[in-house]
Amino acid sequence: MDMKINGRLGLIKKITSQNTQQTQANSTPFTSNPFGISFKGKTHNGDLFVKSKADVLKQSIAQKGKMAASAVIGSLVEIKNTFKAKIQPVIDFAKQTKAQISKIADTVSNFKASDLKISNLIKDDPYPTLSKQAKKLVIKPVDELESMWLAKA
Amino acid sequence: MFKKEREEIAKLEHIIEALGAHKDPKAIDVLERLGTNSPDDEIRELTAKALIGKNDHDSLVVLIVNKGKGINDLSPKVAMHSVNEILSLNDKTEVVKILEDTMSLHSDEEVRETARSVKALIELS
Repeated sequence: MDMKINGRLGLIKKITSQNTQQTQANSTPFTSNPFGISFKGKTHNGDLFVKSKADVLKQSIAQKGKMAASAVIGSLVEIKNTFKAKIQPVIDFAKQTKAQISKIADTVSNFKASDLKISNLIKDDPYPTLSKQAKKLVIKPVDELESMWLAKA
Repeated sequence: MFKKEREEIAKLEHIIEALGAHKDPKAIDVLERLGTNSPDDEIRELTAKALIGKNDHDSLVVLIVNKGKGINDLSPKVAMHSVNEILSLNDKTEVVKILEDTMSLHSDEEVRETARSVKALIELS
């Protein structure tokens, strides 16, 4: 009889200790889950506000990507500045050439055919239509030219 | 021989050209005496060209008024050459005036007729 009672008491103790353990397990400290969010009657132990490893990895990759993009943009700006510094003399030369060409074009467009006279091209020539030999003779006196004519005739 | 003659004429051509451009009035007298009286047609042609090129009253009178000279030359070639030179002048004021005076005042009918013909050509050109 005592044996039966002892057996039942032992069983009750065992069950009680199991319940206690369960209660202790259920009552794990809410340090990481202060709001005690439950799902289907069970309190969630995990910290819902702590990001998962995948999220951290994703964020890390995004951060690294941003850094890489920033570095690329920085290098691009540097390349652009270097290129601009090297190309600037060429641009200046092109602008200067363009200005000169437009100046020539203006001169040509304003040129009149009447401006082109042989008398303007041959300056200080009182006999522009004479041949070279006649120019040598025309400066001589008429009497001398008459003598030359008579000598040839 | 022929080459030598060509050289002589070329030299005379330069002398006549120089006399035609000469500012001394005596040049006209030399051209009239030696040029228009030359037996060579080519020399007379060159002389006519030099005198007309001066486009001066005294030089034009020589070729328009005198019988046997310039437009009145006995050689049709020389006469036509003189007429062509007159027609090619830019300023024909003086030559027209001399032609009109010749038409109305000259004693020789042939000279008057030639002057009338040249004036008609100038008006037509």
